[in-house]
Amino acid sequence: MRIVLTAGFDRARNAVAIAELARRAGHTVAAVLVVRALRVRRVKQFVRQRGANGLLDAARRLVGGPPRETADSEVEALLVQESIAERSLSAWCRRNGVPLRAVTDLNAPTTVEHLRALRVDGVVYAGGGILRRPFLEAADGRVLNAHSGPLPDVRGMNACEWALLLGAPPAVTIHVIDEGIDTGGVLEIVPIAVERGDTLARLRGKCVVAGVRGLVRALGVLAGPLPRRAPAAASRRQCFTLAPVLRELLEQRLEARGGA
Amino acid sequence: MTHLTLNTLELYARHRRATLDWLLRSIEHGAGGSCAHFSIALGWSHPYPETTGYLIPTLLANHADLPELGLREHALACGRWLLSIQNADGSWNGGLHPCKGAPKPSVFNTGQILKGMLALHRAEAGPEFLNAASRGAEWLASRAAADGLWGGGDYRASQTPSYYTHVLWPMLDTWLETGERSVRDSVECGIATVVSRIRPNGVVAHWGFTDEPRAFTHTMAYALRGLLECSRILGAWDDIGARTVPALEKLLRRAELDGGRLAGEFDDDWRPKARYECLTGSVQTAINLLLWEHNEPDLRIVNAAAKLVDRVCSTQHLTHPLSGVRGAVAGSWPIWGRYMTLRYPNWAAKYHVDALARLSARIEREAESACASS
Repeated sequence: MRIVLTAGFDRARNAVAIAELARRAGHTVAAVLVVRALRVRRVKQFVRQRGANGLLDAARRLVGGPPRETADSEVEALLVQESIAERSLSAWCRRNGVPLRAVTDLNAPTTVEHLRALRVDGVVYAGGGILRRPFLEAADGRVLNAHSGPLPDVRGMNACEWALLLGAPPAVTIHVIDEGIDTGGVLEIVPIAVERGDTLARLRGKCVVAGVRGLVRALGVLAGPLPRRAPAAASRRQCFTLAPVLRELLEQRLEARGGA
Repeated sequence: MTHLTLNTLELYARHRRATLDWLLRSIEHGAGGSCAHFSIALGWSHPYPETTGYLIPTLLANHADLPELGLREHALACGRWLLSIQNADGSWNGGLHPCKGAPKPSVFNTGQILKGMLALHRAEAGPEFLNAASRGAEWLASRAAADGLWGGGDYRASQTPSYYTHVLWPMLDTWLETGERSVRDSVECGIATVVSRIRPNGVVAHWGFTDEPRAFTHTMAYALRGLLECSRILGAWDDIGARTVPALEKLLRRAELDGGRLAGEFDDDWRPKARYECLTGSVQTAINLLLWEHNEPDLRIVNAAAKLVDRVCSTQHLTHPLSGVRGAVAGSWPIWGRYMTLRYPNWAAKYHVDALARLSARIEREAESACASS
């Protein structure tokens, strides 16, 4: 398959892993679209939703700081396990001769036009903000995503955490992106085992790794018809970032289970 | 069974305590009642019978957790003060006390004071409080028009605002104690009128102070709370309570998308009409979300309530040198916003305490159920 890969920032390790594993599986990455991180509106929105600590975390990831006990360490382990040397998309693109385009917004008319001109079989979404109709139409509705929760029950943000809080089995869903929030047709649901010693960060990391592998596995489906949205998918209540008190509650629950 | 301790709950307890301390200072300066507000320029205001009335249940509800504050005694003193200023016809006057100009009985204020009278009656403070509540409720019922609302009332709009559900609720609550049928009949008419004002997008028409198609979150929350509480008392979730859900869904989403910040005013199409936050409206909304969640359990709703409460906590000064600011909740944030500009109202503090208590209890319940199942 000939694909375009999106990412929210250059050092997105999960996107590097997808690009390399897709290449090794015989697919062609025609281009990588990376959203420029340092835009006032984006930073402002980020701070409002995730607070100053969230911003500090993001800044650390942006500059490629060493992974601490977060989802990053699981992805780092994947890169090591798969002998992937690059830690940024720009490095990976240079090495593989793939054009990398830094964009202000995936939905900007110039980006959409660029995507249309590439005439690819599909897009693999590995970050970059909510996709609007023009982008989805330019991709002919063939955009794949890995969502860190079981769809359609747990849609929205912090899905791994919400699955645990809501008592749903933790899972990663490989699905098609449509105009709703995590409402597109489901390709595969990959269960995530909660093991003794697991922390929230580790579980998130497991989800990211399962998502990377699931997306690469799913690329073949771009050759045929894709599943449609389930009728009641949008009726499930959307999840948002966890409030500190619920995050704390969940962390203690995991601990009480015999986790960390 | 192991008990979980959460740092955030301890933080909530600190905010609750500081806010209660501020409320007690508002009573110390209130010459019998609780001062309506504190302003840095003008100091403490005169006492406000309306909000003193509904502050009483808050004081009583927190007494068991914080016996050292003497909250029950303060509640009793406020109740006696309110009894002393009740009119012979059962009503209470509007505005601060003493009134500027000629005293005028007020439907809304009378309704709010009923809550204090009932709470004292239920706390076994004496039969005089139920008697006062009963007379107040009968006065309200006798003044109601055929639609169950009040024509020519003490409001700034051309018809009774929908937030007068906050009067219907204590009337109904009084009926629970007295069984006075005329009160319940009147309330049922009023509820039907307000429910008929609910639009498909969840907006309750006329829920603002004026006829303008915009409202502070404070009065929006009043309108919704009244419906939710009437629904609870009547056991009529499907017919009344569930009708508030579209509005609550909108407010939840707004709060979530902006990290607990809720615009202080919305228009009838849910467009934010203010850059400031009406903090009392935010915590009142948190309470409403928790009331909804009580009927339709879902931690995603609790999450939004927590963000609203966290946001209001983040605006509080717990160590400010000015005792009128320490532990207070501003009317608007920033404080120069249009709602209670540059003032710290006692009702914002009251609803903040209520929201903190309700949220903490909900989280504790969740933590205990997790402990029990582990």
